[in-house]
Amino acid sequence: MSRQLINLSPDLKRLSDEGYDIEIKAGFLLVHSVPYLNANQELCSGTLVSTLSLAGDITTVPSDHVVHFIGEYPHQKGGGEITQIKHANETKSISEGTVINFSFSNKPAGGYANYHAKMTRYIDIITAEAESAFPLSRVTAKSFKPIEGKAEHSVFQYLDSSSSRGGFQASSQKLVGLKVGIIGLGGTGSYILDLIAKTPIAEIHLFDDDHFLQHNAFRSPGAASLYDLKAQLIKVDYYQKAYSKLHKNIFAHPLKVTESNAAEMAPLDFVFICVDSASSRQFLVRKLEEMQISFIDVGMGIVSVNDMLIGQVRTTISTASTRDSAIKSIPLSDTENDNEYATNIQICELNALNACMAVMKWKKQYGFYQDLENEICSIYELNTNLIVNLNQ
Amino acid sequence: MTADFETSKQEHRNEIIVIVNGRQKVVSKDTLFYSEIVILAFENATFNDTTVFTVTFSRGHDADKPAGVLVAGDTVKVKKGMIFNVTSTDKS
Repeated sequence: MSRQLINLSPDLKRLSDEGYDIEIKAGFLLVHSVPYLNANQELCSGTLVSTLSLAGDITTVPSDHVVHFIGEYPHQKGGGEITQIKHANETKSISEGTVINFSFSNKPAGGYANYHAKMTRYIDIITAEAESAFPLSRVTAKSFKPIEGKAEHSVFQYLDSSSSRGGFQASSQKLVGLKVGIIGLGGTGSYILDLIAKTPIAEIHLFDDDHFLQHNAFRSPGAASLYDLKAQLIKVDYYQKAYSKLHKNIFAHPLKVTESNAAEMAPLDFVFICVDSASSRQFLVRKLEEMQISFIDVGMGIVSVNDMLIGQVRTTISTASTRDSAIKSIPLSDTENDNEYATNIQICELNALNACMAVMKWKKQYGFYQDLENEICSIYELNTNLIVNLNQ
Repeated sequence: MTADFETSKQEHRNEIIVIVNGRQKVVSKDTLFYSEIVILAFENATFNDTTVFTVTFSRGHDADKPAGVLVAGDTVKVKKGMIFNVTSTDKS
């Protein structure tokens, strides 16, 4: 409820986006983590409190210019109390659980236009002294404290303030509610997880029956610890645990998808196929077509020439209208050419690139990004640095 | 005299150097099939119903499409210096 008030009121949203530690409590606006100097010139942290004038769900012009303060009286650098704000010294409770110690007054001609102007005015006056006294420390009220995701419908453990700051919440909304599967948590699959876990989709389902072993650590986002490696967890469990720190709804399916368990894919809206074996790919492609689920299939081919690597990174999309065309670009049988894919070659950047291309194409399906090309398959060619598209 | 000149022009025209998977190859046709490009990359490549190689090209002829993707059955006009890449893009 208070998050909504903050998001809908431009002045409060601006305070939040700029990194101020704000809270709405019992109808009051609190700004925590305001640095100030006390009587002993010590660096302290206080809270400014203001009443809020509201019209329904958003703020209106502040009705008064007074703020309250929780802390000791703020002092000037090397001197006495900051007198330009002095108003009243009275410790009192203004609401249940909120006890203030002082009230300040600094009235500009014409009053404060909004709560951003009002609060930053007081913050600036108080904090300037502290900043000046401690020039080498990062003294600021813009603490960018992590905000826990308390909203009942949030899929994140903490708030996605990136979308708010970037101003693309409307685009992100297009992904809400989706249930997405990743089959195969190898190099590319794990990078896809890393990316989609940061989107507000409803659920992420991971399918793989392999264990997370030492060599996997070198084609995986983030950094596995020696402790993690010793545990030899099943990949889907390792990744579910790691990314649950961010996204609440990640489900591990420690299995290889076959006819007998394919029904577990039924609730999914979209699937990323990130497997190595041709027989798996063949089965999955046919099964998902039959289940009428759209999917993206990824794959790379790396070969060696004169001791240097070259190759291609492919992203193919298959939707209801493009099933037949998509199949033309998906390798469904094992080939005996010299595909060099030694597990000790560190090419995780290619896995990451493949994952990025797959996630961007996926987002285009929901209008997050514009798609004028509507390619069915796109291939990044290493030695020419080109991305070529297949349209039919 | 004229016939000799024609022949040498013919021979010259038939030897086009292209690059396939980072290596120079000599091609003696104006147009190549998808399968021929795959063989240039992998001499012993075999084809069946489900085999799919990813064949990409650039620095090609067509002003409209100097770069692109070929699928089974496609052809492309050959140009000197054209670059082809062929792999089985099946690893994740």
